[in-house]
Amino acid sequence: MIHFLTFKSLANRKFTSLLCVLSIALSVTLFLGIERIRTGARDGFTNTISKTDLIVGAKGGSLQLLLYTVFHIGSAVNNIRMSTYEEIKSSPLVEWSIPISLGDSYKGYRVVATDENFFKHYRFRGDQSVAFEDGVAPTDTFDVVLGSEVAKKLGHKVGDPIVLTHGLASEAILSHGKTPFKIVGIMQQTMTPIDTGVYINLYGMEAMHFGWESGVPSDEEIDPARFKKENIQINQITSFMMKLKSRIAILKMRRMIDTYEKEPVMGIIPALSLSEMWQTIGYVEQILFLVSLCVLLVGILSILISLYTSINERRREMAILRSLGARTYHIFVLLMYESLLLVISGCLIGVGFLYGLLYFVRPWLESNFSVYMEISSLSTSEWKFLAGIILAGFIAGLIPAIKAYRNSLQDGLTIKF
Amino acid sequence: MDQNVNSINISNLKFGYTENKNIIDIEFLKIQKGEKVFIYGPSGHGKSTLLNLISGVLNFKEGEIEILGKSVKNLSVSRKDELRGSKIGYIFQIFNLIPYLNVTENVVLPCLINKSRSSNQDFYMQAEELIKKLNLFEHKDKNPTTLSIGQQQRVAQARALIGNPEIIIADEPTSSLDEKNTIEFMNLLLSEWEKRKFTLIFVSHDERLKKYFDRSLSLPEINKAELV
Repeated sequence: MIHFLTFKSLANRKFTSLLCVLSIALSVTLFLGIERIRTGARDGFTNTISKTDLIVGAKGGSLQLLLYTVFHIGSAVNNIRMSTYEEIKSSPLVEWSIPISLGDSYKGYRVVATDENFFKHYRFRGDQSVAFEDGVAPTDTFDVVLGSEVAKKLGHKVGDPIVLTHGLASEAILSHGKTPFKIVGIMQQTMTPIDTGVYINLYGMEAMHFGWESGVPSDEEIDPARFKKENIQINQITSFMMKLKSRIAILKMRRMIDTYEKEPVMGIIPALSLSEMWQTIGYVEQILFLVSLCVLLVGILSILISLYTSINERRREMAILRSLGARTYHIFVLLMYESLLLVISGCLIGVGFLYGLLYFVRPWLESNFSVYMEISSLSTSEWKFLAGIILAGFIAGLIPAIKAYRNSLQDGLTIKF
Repeated sequence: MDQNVNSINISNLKFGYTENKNIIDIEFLKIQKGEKVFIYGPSGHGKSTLLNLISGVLNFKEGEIEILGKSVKNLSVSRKDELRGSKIGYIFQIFNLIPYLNVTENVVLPCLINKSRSSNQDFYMQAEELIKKLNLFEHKDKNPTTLSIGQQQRVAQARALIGNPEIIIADEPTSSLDEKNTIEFMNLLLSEWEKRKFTLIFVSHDERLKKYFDRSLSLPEINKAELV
């Protein structure tokens, strides 16, 4: 009986019911969507680098060191000597190390000079390593490997020659025109800053600056023999990453680095710095959370408003039902059932929207914002959230239901016009 | 059931919404089974209150009301609702129908609400018969808002009659009808009464309708409460 009446009554008020359901659905989608993007962004952020125990660079801001080494943002104030790198990495505590040398760019994308260890040891998102879509890691002096986004945006493929730019400006005046590089590989998409990097080896970095000792290129021709790897002397790098054989040694190693006497260097623990950094930008996260809560509140209020305004119109209906033998609690249940039905269908449709949206929006988010999102089933917290909405809908339904119950007690069979 | 039992028996009933002002003060009112009674009730004489008391929507402390031989004074609220739903058919002055149900659905509604209103019979069949008898067959799937007021009141009559309730209370059912529709409504109601012999309590301020009834009472005379 209650089912019958509820469905009929909702169908009779199709438009307002639909609006209610839609507003709930949209707020559910928005809330869950924002939550997913929030966690996706955080995971994407903290997953850019894993397994690395320490990042070492010239003394300065630790955040800065993290940003330029891992995220290709900003630049180093000072480089460090190759001899320092050699000495530290030869410590028996070190399992592997990846040198990084920065400073040049290619059409706005950062050039990262490193060595084969980067391709062998660099890990992100747990235990994933860099893989090639096409081609191989750079071996020769003027070999270059592109991140997936660089290759895609610029339409490059393996075998193309490219000329790198001196400095970081995208429209630079000085280019390394005398030392063109050849693309030997294109990396698979990682959804980390690697996708926007241009990777060469340390020899290439050194070689393209031959003749630049004065700060600008000289007109002298350089003997091609000098470009041979064995003839290139690498003097400095920007920073390096290390993994230690035992995590217990991290603090000890860090202390040794921070007190290194021959050169002012510092070590940071990436996991720690990442979470510190997330905290500093975390207020954005909290604003997003608050916004989505407000949206939800509006959705719940819309149910309350629509039911509450319908109560007076429905006073007559309630008196008729009472005259036919309906108990006062039937009146209460009728309204509760309506609000719950609205909330629950709103939740279902909202979740449907969410998955639809994830399906369509994910590729775009991944390629444009490096926000990595899995289309996973609802998490425990999302279930809790849905339960919370239904509870809120229940409470919002209580108000008109109690009002209608009181009305029907007061009116009895007397119909108010 | 015992034929000697009265349909409605009221004695020394006093009721007021506030402590010291009674709206209803009825010493004695007895309506027999199968009787059709006209109650003259102009507005302002406690008509609605009396009907709410008889149908068990209001509780009273003083006096006694017996419905079909059963005292309702100490019945629980839900037992009163059940009694009303299963034994009493109720017709209002106007707008009797649930706007979002069609004619047939409106007619079967009492049976859906009260399982005991219609014993094992198929009440959809009953509804169809009643709808035919009341000249509403072509409207059976229509929404009540598309019907004329005369048709709406006949749908209300069909709904009151379904499941053969023992008492029918009609609260000014014809006051919004024109002459022709009033006559049609009365004739149909009385021809059903001929067949079923339910107790009919018909309240109206239109004394011309008295002629259709066995007995006529005047609310201003039986209700001794001082009313403004």
